Amino acid sequence: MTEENKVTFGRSSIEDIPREEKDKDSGNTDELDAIKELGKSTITSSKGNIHCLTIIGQVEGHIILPPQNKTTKYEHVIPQLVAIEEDQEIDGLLVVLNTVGGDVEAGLAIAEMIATMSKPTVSLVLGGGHSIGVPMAVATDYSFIAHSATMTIHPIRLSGMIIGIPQTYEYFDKMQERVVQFVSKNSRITSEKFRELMLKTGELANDVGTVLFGEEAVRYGLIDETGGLSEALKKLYDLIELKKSKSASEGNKRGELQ
Amino acid sequence: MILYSIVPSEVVFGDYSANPVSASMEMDYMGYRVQVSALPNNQYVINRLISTSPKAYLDPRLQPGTVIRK
Repeated sequence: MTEENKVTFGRSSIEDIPREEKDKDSGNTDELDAIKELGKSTITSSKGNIHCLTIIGQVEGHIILPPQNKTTKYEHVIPQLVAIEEDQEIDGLLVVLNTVGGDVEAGLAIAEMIATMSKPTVSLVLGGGHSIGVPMAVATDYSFIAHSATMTIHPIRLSGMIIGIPQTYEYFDKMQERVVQFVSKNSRITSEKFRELMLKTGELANDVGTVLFGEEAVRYGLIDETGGLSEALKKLYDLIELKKSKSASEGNKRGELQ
Repeated sequence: MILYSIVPSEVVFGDYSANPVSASMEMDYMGYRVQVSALPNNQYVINRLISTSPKAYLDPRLQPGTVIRK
């Protein structure tokens, strides 16, 4: 696989790939379709190379969802996160969220991957960051929410046949605990407060829970700051700069000891 | 599989039997294994990349949704 030196928005910079003359136009359309499908892009600047990952629609789990759903496919996102973590030319990751939730395990898998990356990560919740979008939004080093964005906190539900025995509820409780603990561990909200928001009555029409919008998410300690694209990018570049200067000073220290 | 979403499951799944998942097959493209669905005009759309090379997942030509010709 040839090296990616400077991949610009949606286009491959690998110039030595032969491309037939008549396919030039259709090649561009294919690339535009690819961006449309997955929404990934690389931005190169002198401040650092960052990647941008968008989490959209439903997070698809082990079942392929019907075509009316827009989905985020974890089987593609996770290897991309591995590549971003190990590629020396990529300095940081911006995660943009506008999701209605989805599969619990796929969502937690992506969230854990993001949380355990050594490179600087910043998230930006736009539109909505509901349900399993909450763990994914707080997984980054720093999180932003747009003023008009909302995050719905509600309990996990199972659709289909439920056997009404105590073990079912204990199972649910365990599943729910996974989410509660991840969120409280990766943000400034306590697990008690998060559970309280989850079980609040009177806000949602057909469920218990809370809709936090913009500033409220920050007030409860779930998200770090309200802001938009420029703030999120500035924060990411600041974190990249901080990491670079930290590793530079560590290198100097080692040099002095020698 | 637990669907943790504000969208009710009847909207997500809809009439599941009415939308059969289009048959997908595996083939090799650019040296990588891809899972594709057939389109008219001998074209295919990539559903999934199957590879152990993380770098491949960043290549825009191998993203799910890319239409390829074989």
